[in-house]
Amino acid sequence: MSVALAIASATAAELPLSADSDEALMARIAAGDEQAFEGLLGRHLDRIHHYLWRLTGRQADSDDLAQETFIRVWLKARSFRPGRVRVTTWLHRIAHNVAVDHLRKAGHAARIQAAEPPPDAVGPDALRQQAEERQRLHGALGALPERQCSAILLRHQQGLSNPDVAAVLGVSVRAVESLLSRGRRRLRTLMGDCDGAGNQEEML
Amino acid sequence: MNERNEPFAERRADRLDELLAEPHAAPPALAKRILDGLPSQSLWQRFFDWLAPVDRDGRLWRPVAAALVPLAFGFALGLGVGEQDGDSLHDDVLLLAFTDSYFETSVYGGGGDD
Repeated sequence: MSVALAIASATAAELPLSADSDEALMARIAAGDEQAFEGLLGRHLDRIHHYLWRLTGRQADSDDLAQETFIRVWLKARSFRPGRVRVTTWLHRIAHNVAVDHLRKAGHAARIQAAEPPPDAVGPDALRQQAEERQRLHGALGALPERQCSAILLRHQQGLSNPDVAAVLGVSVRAVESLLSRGRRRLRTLMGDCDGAGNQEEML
Repeated sequence: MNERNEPFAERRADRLDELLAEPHAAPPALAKRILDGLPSQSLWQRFFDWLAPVDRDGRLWRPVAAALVPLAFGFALGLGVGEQDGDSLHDDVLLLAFTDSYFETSVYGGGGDD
């Protein structure tokens, strides 16, 4: 009985947070509510971490950059304007800026070299082909120019619309369409060449 | 030749989309690491964020208003100094009266040759 009550009270305590929209959570975070921040973190950490990992190519870097991103979210929550931009777009813009700053310091060559294999690249024989495919994608993404890679990840991996991608990258929608078109073409070429045991660094 | 390649290209594009959209989970300890490392929002930081927000559209009045504060303070101070009664003018005259020229020109009728 007491266990049931404890579960019920815990659920009741979680309900308002989970029912809150991202915008409502941001308003609470701006007022210094750590519980709201935890809620937002739970919702978006996986996506942001995925984006940063694909963009930088290194697990350790993406961990650090995700931390920096969310610390900025915590500190800059008051500057968020609900009607102007969606929370997901705002989060991705911060993550993108953090990643670009990092890549600028490290340099593009470091990004290609940094593309370490995904964690599941080594496994049973049955999964080896899929793991190799993922590894090829990872390497090909690392070989793409940063802007094309960002546009592809934001559009196809993160599921943002073209206007949202444009808002994150700070370019026009037409520029995003162009980046996506060139990026996808090049990615397919790189993936195809990798199929034939080509070296993606030579493609540059 | 192209027709034969089209389904292959489509299949490869679909597979690319699938690979890109694969779910991903951040390391379990990362969320705790972020929460533990949260800095406190100091009053100074809050004021600075308010004064110079990241998204400045429509909020330029804030730094402008902050820049006008010393000017307004100066005006207020100036107005306060300007509000003086006659006594202070009299004091000024008395103070000036200690100069030689004042005595020579005003108190003893000007020339001093008499």
